[in-house]
Amino acid sequence: MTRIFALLEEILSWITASVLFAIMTLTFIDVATRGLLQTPVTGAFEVTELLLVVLVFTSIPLASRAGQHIAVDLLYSFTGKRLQWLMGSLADLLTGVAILGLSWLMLNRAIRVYNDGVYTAVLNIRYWPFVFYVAFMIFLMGLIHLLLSLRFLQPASATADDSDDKQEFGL
Amino acid sequence: MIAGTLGIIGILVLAILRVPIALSMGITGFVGLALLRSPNSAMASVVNTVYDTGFQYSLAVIPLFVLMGNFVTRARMSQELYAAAYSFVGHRKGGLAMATVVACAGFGAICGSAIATAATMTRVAHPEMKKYGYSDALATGAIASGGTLGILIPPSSLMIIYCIITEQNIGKMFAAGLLPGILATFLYLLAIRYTVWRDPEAGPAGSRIPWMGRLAALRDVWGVLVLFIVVMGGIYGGFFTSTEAASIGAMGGLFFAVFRGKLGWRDVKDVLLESARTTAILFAILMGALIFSSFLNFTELPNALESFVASFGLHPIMVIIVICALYVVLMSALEELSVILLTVPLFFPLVVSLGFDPIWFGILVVCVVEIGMISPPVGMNLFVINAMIPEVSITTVWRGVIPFIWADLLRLAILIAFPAISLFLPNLLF
Repeated sequence: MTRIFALLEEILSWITASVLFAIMTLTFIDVATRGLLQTPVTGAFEVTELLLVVLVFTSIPLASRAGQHIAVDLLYSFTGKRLQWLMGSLADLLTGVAILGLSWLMLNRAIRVYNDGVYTAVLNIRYWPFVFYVAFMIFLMGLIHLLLSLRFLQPASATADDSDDKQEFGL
Repeated sequence: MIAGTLGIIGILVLAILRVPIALSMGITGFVGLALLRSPNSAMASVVNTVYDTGFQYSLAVIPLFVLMGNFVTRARMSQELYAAAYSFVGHRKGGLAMATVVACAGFGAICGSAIATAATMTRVAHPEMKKYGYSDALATGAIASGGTLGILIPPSSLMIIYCIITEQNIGKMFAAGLLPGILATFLYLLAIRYTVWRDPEAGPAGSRIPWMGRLAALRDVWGVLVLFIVVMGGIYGGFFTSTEAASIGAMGGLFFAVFRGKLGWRDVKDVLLESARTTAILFAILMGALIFSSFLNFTELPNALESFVASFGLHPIMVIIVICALYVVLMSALEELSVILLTVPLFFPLVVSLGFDPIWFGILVVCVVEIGMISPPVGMNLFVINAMIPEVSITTVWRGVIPFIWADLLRLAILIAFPAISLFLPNLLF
């Protein structure tokens, strides 16, 4: 199980890193060509929007796997190891169930978007594959929390010794 | 009123049980909507929020500014900034701590994260201060508090999030942070003067740098200046949007990091991945807050809060003072970003209904978060310093930040009393 998730993590890491690089480069080229050649990249706006969806929803399960979602340690840090284990498991169970429910709702939305045949205004890109992707990634996030709760996956070890990792909080 | 209050209690209970904040807000918002309206409308509302937040071009500004901050941190541009600041003030008593604060302010102008600013400055400034025999309390206090300038001086990740949840203009908000940032730097320098006046041994003077050396050091910070002028100048000159400015900043950060040999291709992937994960965390918490906020709109809580406050007949400015005091207390115990996302949807309508400027309130919010980040026991910057310099005890760091917390409180009071400090530049530029 751990090996499958390690492979999946590697694949998703490459996807998310490449997509972020693409967003940066595409927006930069769009500005540069607009400023220098007066001809912006056609549909750059739409592609960036779709890439952002891929970026965010590919990274969300990665953040779950790394145990990085912001949580409050107020009570947790004052409890014993056994109670911490119980609290962690219950929190993951609740998160997993709620997120799996959300993935089901998102799957329904994806089916609706597929049936409606919605596409972007300039490049006529179909939206449905992206919405299915979002539903799948949310499902993956829920699955990770469930597996963490049932201890089929080990929680990621804390890396508090390297303060650069604390940038995860975004402030 | 009761539904809204129960909602907030629900979030706190879930959060204390260690359910991630994003989920605590999302689940409570969903259950609240289901009970107040119907399960179907709650489901539709949740899916719409997640869908709309994901498919929104303007939110690309978040990953790009995060990426810019991470690239310039890796490029170690803090070194030149520190050297330049040191060359001017290093020979004074407490001069190395002053140089640290000034360098933090300079780094804050190209990085939107307080934690990253504190972390990068710890590496550069702490060894120097240690060499000159600075007290650990002053050294760590200056770095921890100087680091918070990262979210006040534009660009700023917190300002972006504030603007998204309150629908304000990011460029305007950035402009508002500049003068308060200079005021904050000045007050921190005063705090250092005060500390070395009380205890001259705490911050011995460094060696004096001749004027030629000073000019040479100043020349070395051109990279930072170019990035700041292009990114901020581009936004204010109307050349590009904040998202586009962020992409140029990120590209510039990458260029400097690679050009200086600080970043191999493997590291580039790591920085991208780190930035992507930060983005995911911010989006998750943003979606949770938006779901909770749509529930809150169906309760009478925001209106009830307005009537409740009106019933006291308080002067509007007293309301602001009470809100800020409440924030300072909350943030000394809870994680800052969560407090903001939870409470801004509640307080913002009240503040606007009292006739206050939303941008000005945003600056006050940033200031209270800064105080929260250096307030013992759970201030985030204190943990960063403690993790990077484990030989200095956390209680020493707590002692070190006290004069700076006073400087922060004084700044907050000045900014409340004189809104023009925050609003002069945005009114001039927009």
